[in-house]
Amino acid sequence: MTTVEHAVGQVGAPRGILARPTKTTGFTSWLTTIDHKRIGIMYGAVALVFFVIGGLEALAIRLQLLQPDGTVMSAKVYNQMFTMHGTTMVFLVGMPMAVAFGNYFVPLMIGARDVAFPRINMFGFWIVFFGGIFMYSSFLWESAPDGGWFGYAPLTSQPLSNGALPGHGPDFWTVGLIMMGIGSVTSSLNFIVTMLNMRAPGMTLLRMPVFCWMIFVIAFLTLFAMPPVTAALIQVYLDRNFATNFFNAASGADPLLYQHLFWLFGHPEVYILILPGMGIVSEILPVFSRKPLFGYRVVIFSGIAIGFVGWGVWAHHMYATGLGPAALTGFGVATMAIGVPTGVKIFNWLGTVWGGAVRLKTPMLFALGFIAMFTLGGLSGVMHSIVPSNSQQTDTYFIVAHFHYVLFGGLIFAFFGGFYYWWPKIFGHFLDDRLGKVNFWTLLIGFNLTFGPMHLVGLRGMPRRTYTYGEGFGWDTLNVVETIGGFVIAFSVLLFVVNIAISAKRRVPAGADPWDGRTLEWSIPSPPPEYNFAVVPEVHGFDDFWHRKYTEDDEGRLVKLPSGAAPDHDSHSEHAEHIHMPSPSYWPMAFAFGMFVMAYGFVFKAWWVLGVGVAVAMIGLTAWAIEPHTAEEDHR
Amino acid sequence: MLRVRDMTTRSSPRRLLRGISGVAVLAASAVLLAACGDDSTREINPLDPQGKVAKKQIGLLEFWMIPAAIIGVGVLGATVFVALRFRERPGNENPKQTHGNTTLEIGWTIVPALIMASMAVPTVALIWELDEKPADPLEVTVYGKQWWWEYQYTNLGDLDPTIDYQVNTANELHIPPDQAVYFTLKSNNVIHSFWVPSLAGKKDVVPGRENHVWLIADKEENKGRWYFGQCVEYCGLSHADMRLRVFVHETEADFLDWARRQHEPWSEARLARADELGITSKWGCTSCHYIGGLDETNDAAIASGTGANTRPGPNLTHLGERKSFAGAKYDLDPEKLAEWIWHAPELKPAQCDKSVARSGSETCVGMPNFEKSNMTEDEARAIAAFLLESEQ
Repeated sequence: MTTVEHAVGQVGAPRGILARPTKTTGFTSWLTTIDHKRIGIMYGAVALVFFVIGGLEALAIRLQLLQPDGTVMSAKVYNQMFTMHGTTMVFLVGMPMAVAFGNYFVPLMIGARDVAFPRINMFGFWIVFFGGIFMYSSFLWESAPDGGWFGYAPLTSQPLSNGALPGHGPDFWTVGLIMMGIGSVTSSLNFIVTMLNMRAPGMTLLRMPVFCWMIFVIAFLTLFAMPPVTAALIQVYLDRNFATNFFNAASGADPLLYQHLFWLFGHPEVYILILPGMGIVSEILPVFSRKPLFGYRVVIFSGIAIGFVGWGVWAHHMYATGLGPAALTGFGVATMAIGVPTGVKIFNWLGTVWGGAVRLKTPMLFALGFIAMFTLGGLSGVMHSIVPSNSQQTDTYFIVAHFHYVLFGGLIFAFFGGFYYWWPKIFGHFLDDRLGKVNFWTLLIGFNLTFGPMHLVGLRGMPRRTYTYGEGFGWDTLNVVETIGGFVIAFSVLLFVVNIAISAKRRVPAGADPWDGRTLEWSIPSPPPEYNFAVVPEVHGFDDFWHRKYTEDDEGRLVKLPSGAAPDHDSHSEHAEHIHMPSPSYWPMAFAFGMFVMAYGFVFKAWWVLGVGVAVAMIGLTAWAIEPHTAEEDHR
Repeated sequence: MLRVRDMTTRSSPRRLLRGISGVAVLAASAVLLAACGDDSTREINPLDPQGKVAKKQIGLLEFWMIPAAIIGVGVLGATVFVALRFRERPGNENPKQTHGNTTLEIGWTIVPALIMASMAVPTVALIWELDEKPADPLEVTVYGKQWWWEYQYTNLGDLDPTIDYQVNTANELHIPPDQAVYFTLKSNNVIHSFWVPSLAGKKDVVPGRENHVWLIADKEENKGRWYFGQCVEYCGLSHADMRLRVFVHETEADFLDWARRQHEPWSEARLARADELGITSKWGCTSCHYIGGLDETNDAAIASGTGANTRPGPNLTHLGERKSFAGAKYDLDPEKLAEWIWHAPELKPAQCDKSVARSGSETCVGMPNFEKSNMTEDEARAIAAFLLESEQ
């Protein structure tokens, strides 16, 4: 019988206020949990809620653009809507959802019991959560950010008298993003250290699942991308609030510096967003084709190549800014080059499915949808790289079409695939597959109806970020189609939410290995116990779990092993261990909360509020450092 | 142990095919609907280039659309094909566990790389070609304002030596046919982007920098035509309302006539009536707008170029000759102009400190609300009618 204990404490460890919380069930247990699985679920829940909110913002945009000279909302509200839609989808959906999946599944896939730094993991979640609450609280002061998700200086960094945006909107934006950036950096550090140090015995790096590899790559990308944008955000804040001159042309500064700093982050950011989705798809396709991933090493090295080359293309977001022909040439050629490893991945995915035994369950439909939609998005991306033609494409809806094809048709489809694939593992029951298929087809149709026409309306001259447009430019009908599509998407997302509810009620049990999976997470019960693995697995090769179930004959065809690994075969073994798991804690959340209070101090320049926030944060950080390793009752 | 229900036997290939055809029909109808519903009456279409620069820019794109379409259809088709062709059936549940194929990997790395390389060559060539300043251009300095465009013609003397002054106008750019026009783009506020889609790609207008772009209306059909454009870099509250129009004259002589007229000031009589209506007095219009003939120093500054980009509002001297106003958002008509003069922020929001509003006394960017300063509607109408008179 396996027993779980929380780590033995030190002799003479402080008690009282620093005693570790003990509850493992109930609402408060979620507030103090350091369990990577629960943190993953919280990241996922928060990301889903923000997905719906960001989607409502998109619907607002679509309603305003339904007709020329629309009057559904004022220009100011519209500018807030497109700013918050972009900011939310990138920072409160795309990144946290990837971290949700990464948090839950990286330790499971590498045979570990948690991440390297559970309390830092908890802190990362809470600061992202508070960052989102903070940014959205701006609506209470009618100061929602309205400078675009990219917040170019000097529009955001100057006073109103120089024509820049008035009010607190840009400050909520800069400070909120800095908060979320801190969370991203801590998560990245955690993932890197975890994957380098906590792989099960026998799991070399090149036996690690592709999903883990993609998280590994983006962790490095995040680590190096956050500093330039953080610098830029701080500079905007200082320009705006303390009359510094980082981006003040009148004092001899170059506003383009902001764009360079932002896009130095911004381009790797899009790979940070998409690579986890590619990782999810790389897990789903082999399972539902009953074949290994075609070109495993090539797919990984392509991901690494994309990560590297991605640092050299940032100015392709700036082709119209007057960079000069030499820079245009360099960035243009580099941007074309990056299409090559991306294409290689797509061909490898197709090669995975080729010759397989395909089961078209919902996860597989989304993975296949990803391949198709992402390819279309990639092709329009290649169109953008043609620099002289880019001057007719940039800042139009043609760009909006491109990035929605790769980020929605790509990333979001991958996330939906991940939901349907991994829901049984996380919750122990299936999401309904029939409803899932309707979810898929309505999402595919709605998505294409919304963003397909944007290619055309953009190439016919419709600019972005415009709260209305004139009649007679030939854009009217296309905008109507796009708005209809938006509502079809909304319907599909509603179906997904309904699916969650019905499935929770019906609870069709899934068991440990419902899909006949290949990776280690399918070797443990669904949902997994707190300690994940009763016995730490010994890994003998890539897709080790699959190879416990199957071997290959001379022609390479599958042969089921008679003594195949029944899931959960360890739970009654005599090799039971006393498993030491880290205890829950209050303090990482307190530290994050202190920063949340500080943020308001910065926005309103209320220095006493800042002081209170610093105090709370310092208390949280100190207590975190000196709290005992264990809850009292486990103390021997 | 509960056996998971196998869904594959329920959804037959036929159902899947029906699903796909449904999508295809919908997509096709959307495109057809959009194409048939071509409600375009105003020329703002990169896909229908009207000048050499735009033609070259879109030409390169259109060329590469073909291989892109082939690859797109290919991958889409392959995705559908592998999904259907290799469905799990009794007998094929244990497929060959292929791990990869080096030849294929090399092939599908090299071929795309070659395609990209061949795309790069004409791309780089065109970058450098379009970067060269055209010979003997008409030079115009474009100032991005909030939210309108100011134009200063700086070398009219090169076209006609008798013109020894510069010409200043707003929102509607007039150009001669078959003449390269070379723009210098400047801003003293935020970043804008100057774009006339039918004639050339866009270029950002960045404070502290001088960017350049050029175009030429060299097609016969250009003559006597209006082309539309707008600001295409988010520049604040009324970014969407910062539009522009370009008129290509039938002949160069016609263009020069227009240019000379722009230089003419208001007569004394007209200035006197302006004073009565409050334009140069009570309402303080000239604190933001330039009117020719009112002040000698200002007139000299405008004619020499030093008076350009010094005011938050456009040059109104020859407003009546234009076809549009308010950053080229509205067609010029007396009713609309009166409404604008009376309470402009109701039509085009002003960016103010506390909220989007409409007060005379807050710090704002944009035309003020004179209704709040007790201008009556009749007064506004009178001013509008006056501005639209042919001047004397």
